[in-house]
Amino acid sequence: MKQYREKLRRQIWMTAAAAAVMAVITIFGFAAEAGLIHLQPLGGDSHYASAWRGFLSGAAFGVLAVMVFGLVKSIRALRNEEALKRAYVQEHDERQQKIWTSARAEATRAFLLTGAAAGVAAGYFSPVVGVTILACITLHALLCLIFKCYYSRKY
Amino acid sequence: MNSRIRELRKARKLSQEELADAVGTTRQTITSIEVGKYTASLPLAYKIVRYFGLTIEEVFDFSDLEDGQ
Repeated sequence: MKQYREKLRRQIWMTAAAAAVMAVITIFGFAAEAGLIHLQPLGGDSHYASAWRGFLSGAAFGVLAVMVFGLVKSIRALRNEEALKRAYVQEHDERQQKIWTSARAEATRAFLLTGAAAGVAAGYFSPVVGVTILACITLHALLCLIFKCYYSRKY
Repeated sequence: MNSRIRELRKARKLSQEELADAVGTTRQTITSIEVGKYTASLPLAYKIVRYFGLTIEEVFDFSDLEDGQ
């Protein structure tokens, strides 16, 4: 439990740093939308620029909210032995780990199949979109292969 | 894999939550093991049989494995 406590402390610091970054992105996005600062993507018109800023600010705010919730939960766990034990069991529960492993494997398979189909279809309408999607699929497949080789040697 | 965990737990008047706390897992995992939807790993199976003070064959049903051979 001592090692888990140390791990939780490190996690709290890293999450706090990441939350600070998300807060900055959120503030910059809203400030740009309010016209207080100039923040514009290189391509697209003003409508696209506004949509992009809004999307980034909203997404960053959503991630920030989740991070703050996680931080509060982690800090409470550090102060209470029962809560710490509960957090440890939840995080290390083997059934939950198996569920996540299976879900990620199936999601990877679905992503590769649907992404390849989407990339090919998109290529008929926009070369940039089609090539970008196919490049992402290829990168994902290569990373799967690399990690498979790594874990084959490890286990 | 089937097991006698529910039977053994009820004989000792234990809730799923109490058994889960005793072996260091969640109530949902104990539920899934009892209904045979999830097969416990070796470390968890060991903790469960040790808690009941029985052998692994007395708690878990290995007949499916033997039939498969």
